[in-house]
Amino acid sequence: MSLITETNQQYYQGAQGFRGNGVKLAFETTFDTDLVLGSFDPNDINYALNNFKLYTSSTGIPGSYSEYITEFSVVDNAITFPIAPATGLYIVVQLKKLDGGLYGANDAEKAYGQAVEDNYGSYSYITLDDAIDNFMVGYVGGGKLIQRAKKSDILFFAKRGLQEFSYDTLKSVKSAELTVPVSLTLALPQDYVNYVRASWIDDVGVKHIIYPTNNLTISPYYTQIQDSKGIPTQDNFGSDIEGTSITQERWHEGNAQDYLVDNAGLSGINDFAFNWNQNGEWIGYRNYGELYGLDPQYSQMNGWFNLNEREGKMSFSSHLVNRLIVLEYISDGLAYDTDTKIPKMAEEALYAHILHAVIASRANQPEYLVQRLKKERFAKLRNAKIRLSNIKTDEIAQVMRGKSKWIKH
Amino acid sequence: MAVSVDKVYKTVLFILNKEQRGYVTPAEFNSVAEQVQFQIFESYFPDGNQQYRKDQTNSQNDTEFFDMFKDISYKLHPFEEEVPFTYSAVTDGFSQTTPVVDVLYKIGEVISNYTDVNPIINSTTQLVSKAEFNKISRSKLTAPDNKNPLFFTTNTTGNLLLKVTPTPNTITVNALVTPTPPNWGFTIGGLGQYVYNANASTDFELDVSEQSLLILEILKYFGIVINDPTIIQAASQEAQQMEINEKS
Repeated sequence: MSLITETNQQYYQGAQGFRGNGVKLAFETTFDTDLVLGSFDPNDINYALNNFKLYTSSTGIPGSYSEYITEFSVVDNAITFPIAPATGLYIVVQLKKLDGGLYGANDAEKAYGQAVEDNYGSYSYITLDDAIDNFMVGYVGGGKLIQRAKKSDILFFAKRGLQEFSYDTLKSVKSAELTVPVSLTLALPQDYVNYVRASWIDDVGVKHIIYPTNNLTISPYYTQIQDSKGIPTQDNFGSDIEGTSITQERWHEGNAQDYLVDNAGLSGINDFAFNWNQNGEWIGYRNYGELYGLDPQYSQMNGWFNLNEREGKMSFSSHLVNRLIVLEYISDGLAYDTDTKIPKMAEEALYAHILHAVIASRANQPEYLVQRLKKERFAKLRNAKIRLSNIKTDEIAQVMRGKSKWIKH
Repeated sequence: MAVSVDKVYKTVLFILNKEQRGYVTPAEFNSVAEQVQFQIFESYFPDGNQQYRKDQTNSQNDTEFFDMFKDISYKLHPFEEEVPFTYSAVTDGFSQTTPVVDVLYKIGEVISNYTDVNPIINSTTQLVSKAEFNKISRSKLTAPDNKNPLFFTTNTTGNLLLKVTPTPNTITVNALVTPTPPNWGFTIGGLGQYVYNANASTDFELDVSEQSLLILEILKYFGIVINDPTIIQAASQEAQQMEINEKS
């Protein structure tokens, strides 16, 4: 059985057509996307939950379709009518699409949304449920290494595997485009686990990497109010009274004036370094690093961010205020249902991970077997990393051509 | 295919007569026959388990008719049924639909059907103990959902109760039911003799391959023993050898 079950029209257009015959009540759709029906009635508040629209036409001629807003229901992905549609009636199920699809006569009738786009590229992934079912078929049973296993155990190891893979093997696909507010802090994304990179975006869309502050400043975890003897003071409930961070306050107020050479010059591409310009000439007077010279980790003008673990926020240097930034980050792959998918290039590595984890966590397993599975897991994970690194020889060649350039010192 | 109760009874009578061991009334026969049928039925489980363990040493064969594990599991087919269960809001669990037609022996695979979601989800449901259920459902990674439901067994007024989480709309339970007791039904003939009545009789549900074993086991209950110790020894050795051949 082939793995692709959608037609080209279903995949690209998100549409599937039927013809009424005066008898048939239910029309089964075969999209990869499950139909979501909040309500058939546009006046109902749940109508907005629908991920598709239904159109009918008596002729099937383009432009003759109108939205069907009379009663129908969805049972097991089949559109079910209370009364059989007339013989010859053209019925089209259109999943919501960014361009609204081909069938709506006007903006109100068009199926705007992104259910179709969400499914694009889905063939490069398998769902976690499918991976677990495949594992149970292929690796668990009589005559196999795992004679029997509880599905909850497999589920646990599969999810743990997906989490681990998300941290260092799978592609980092999460990014958020945000504007730095006056407070210079942004709440971490809901599914944030760690950052990959933060950049600010200039007027022409080029990204400039902004770096963590490292030793430049810190967001203190506790900011107790102290009495004159330096002892933290408590409120009526016996807990320490917390104030705002003076360190952060000073950082937000100070760094623009004291540390940056040209605060106003950041609107376009700006490659001025700290204390030194691109010609290696000394500039400025009160810059950080003046006494001991250039410190490479601070030799950039794009800006800084640091993590405020206490508040769960990212804090930015003040010249990034109102700037557009893009935060690339990793999650653990389990935050949302749509996240729980594994690139097919890492599918085998996940099976090897589960197999090793199950055998290694069991009593009385021969150590040579555990070690063999550990090596297999390692090798398959390394393969997955290489595959997902997306290294192409012609792209490497293109990069390596730059090596022939004369590098000035 | 079932074993004819009439055939077994008449063979037993024939051997008893040949050995001059007296006569067995239908009531006596029916009682012993029920016991023997259940005894053979129960022997399938340790035997099947023993055969399944061969898989661990990769010494099981996969031929069409000589796979012993498959042969034993085939003998259970007459007792394998989809048993109807019904949800009760009072007990918040599923119990066997009344009136109970078959007496449950073992619960097999349980499928939970969630019909009020789209698409309809039919999930294999994992049987766990109550203690395991508490542990598994506390972990966010393994907490039951409608794709990975859990159930444990308890009882309500003495009847089996399946507690499935999350509660499905319906469940499909594959189970083994206990064998129906065989019955040699009869009418009284003109000479006062017992005349076989097929309409009032119930055949053995065991597979037809068990006919010889059934007769031998029933005869044991009626005291057919061979007094010559050498014959007993030879016979028991032969029986042991056969068993070894079958199970090795």
